Amino acid sequence: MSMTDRTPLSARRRPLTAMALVLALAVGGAGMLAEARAETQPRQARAEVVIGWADLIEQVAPAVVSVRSVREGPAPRLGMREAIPGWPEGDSPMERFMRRFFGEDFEFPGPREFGMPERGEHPERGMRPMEGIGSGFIIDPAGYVVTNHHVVQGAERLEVTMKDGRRFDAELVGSDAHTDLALLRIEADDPLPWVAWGDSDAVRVGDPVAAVGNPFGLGGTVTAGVISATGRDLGAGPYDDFLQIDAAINRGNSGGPTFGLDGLVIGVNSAIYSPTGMHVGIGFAIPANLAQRVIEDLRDKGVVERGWLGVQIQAIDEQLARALELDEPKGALVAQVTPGSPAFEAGVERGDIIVRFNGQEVTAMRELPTLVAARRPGTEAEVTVLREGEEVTLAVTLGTLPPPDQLAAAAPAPETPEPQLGMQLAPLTPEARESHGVPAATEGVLVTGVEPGSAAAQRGMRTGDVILEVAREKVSEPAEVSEAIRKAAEAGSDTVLMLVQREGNDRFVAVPVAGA
Amino acid sequence: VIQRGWRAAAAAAVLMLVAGCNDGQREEAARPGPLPQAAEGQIVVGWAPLIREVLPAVVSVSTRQQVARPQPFPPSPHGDSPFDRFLREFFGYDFPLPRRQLPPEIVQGIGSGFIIDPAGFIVTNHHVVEGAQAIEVGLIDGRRFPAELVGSDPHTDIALLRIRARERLPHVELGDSDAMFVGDPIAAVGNPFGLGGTVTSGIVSAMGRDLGLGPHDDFLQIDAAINRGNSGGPTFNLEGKVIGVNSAIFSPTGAHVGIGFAIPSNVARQVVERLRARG
Repeated sequence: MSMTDRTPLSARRRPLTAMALVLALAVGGAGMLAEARAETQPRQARAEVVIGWADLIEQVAPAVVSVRSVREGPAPRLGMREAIPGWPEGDSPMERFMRRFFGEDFEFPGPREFGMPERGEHPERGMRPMEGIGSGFIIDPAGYVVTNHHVVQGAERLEVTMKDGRRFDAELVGSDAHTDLALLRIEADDPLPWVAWGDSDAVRVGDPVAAVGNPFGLGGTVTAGVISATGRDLGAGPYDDFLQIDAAINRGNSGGPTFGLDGLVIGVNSAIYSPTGMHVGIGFAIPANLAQRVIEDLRDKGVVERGWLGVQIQAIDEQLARALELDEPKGALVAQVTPGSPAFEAGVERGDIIVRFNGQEVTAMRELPTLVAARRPGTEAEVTVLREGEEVTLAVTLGTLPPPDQLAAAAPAPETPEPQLGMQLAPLTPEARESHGVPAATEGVLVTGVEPGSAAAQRGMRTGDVILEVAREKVSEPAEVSEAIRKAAEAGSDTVLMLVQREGNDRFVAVPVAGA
Repeated sequence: VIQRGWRAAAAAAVLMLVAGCNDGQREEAARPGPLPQAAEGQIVVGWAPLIREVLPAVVSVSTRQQVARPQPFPPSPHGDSPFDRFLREFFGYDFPLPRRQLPPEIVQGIGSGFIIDPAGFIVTNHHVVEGAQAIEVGLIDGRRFPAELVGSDPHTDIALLRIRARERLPHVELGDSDAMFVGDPIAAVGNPFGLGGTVTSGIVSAMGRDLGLGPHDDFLQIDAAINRGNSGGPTFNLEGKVIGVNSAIFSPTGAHVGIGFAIPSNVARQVVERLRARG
């Protein structure tokens, strides 16, 4: 059978049936109706019907490969990354992502790691690592292979196996932890089968997709489904913009392609969400448009250069917006400025709200890292911030985004309101510093207990947090905190803004004071 | 082939072929070919145009309640029949926060629902809103509304909510579940694990399932991925009509394994009419 795989011409000469997109049953001008219709009619429309995957898969599957990474010593787990709901400990991106799904208003303060270190063993879940197995696909007849960063991370040797059984040693051209993408190269005597990138921006929820990969080592596995959602922010990294698919992907599918009906790659399968560690119908792929840019940089330069500001930012929810006296929850709140960073040099201050970057609106916090990263290091940019109600525009010379392991970890986040504060506070004595690992330079008030269900708990305050400021005033004694909260309540505020440090990261938390 | 040549070809939105592909053949590939022979492949449903229409009418439902009873998880070691498990996993709807942050007596629930009337009537599951002290409904456009419970029927697991918006709301229609056949394509929309607006597709696996949950059991069985949080969400047929209200899964793991159950729309319709008339 491998002979047929070696002679793709036979497949190619067939009419390109799978691409014949649509039987176009009764779509019936739904699009035109959509805009103008008053909501007096129930929503309905008919589906379009298209013809299946087999022909298309026959043509593209030879370009999909298995990637095996060889390491000395114990192999870290490769393949799909999972998010496990209910996992109580730890603070990896996926755990944070998981927590957010459980109702926390979780957000990221700034550029941070994406390339999640593969989680250690969790014997209670019975999850054994696959032995360094992932998927990939060839995007160029010269042998360039796309896969996930987390598939090749730490590998001493990489091996690529094609559908026809040919096996190659692969060279790592470059790897980008921020987006979890890597580019390999294999050298073959003949041009290799390859696939091309599609336009992930054109993808619609409900579009049919097929994933091809190497789940549990079962190379050449094809699974079909639909686009479940687009633009998912998983909290896995600052550039999160995943396609969600319901096709079965599992460990070993990492780095494999998701195809659209035109046979073009619209996503790179990278993660699943699952309480069991296996497919439950919720998979995530890096969109092709992002992947293509990153892969081109990796091919041309071996690295992806991104602009860097050097701020930790957080999203502004309605609570924070009220506490900051904003009309609407918009922009990126600066929680921390890295000393010596471009933002620091430009005069960006903690508490500034970044509303525009180079003239482009920053509506949601998560837009900013993408805007900044899209600019080359060394270029000039304008940052417009809201400071005490006034817009201030600052000129900044962008630096180079450091690799994730040099970035500070993100500060975990607060959650939803409740009309009680419910925190036990203590001064930062040397003993308290010692036992809670608070740096000597930190001035504030230690949280020694949080009443379950209280306003503070609901906003994510935890034992060990240090309150640095209340209502923009520095505090160093518990009494100052109480006093500031009392004043805020008397002044009629329904929330009080606190600056809180956790594990060296600062962030603003708006805690409701009504009834306090 | 030329390293950059493929980009131009990609722009033409073409299937890029395999080894030895020459440019002439790529030219040829630049147009979608003739319709394939039916025998060449199975039918694949392109749900996108339909989903665009119906998605705005699907909502997320979140509830808050205080409970005195112990947490439903972890389950007791007793009663581990498949149905006990399934009851626990899906009807054990109370959705505890991760233990570390879990206030002992406050439980947050998530579910799904769909608007059936521009005036803001919403169908969901009884078990999603049972015991809730506050119910909030989220639309796909980000709007959130406090919801009032119009009425709830534990026997069929159907509840009716109402939200009040200034404008008329996007809505969908209940279809005829008796007209469905095993094998018919369907799509489920909902809020699994809080991932609002998630669309999953599959087929009707079986009809008229009695799960031993109540006297009126008559479930549609579907294989589209539904999980915790999908409860109360709609299953659509190819006409964009709601033919089922997703309510339960059978699973040894507590998550999707391909066996989901929906209350048939013909049952739901009767209950909704009754709830609307009498609460």
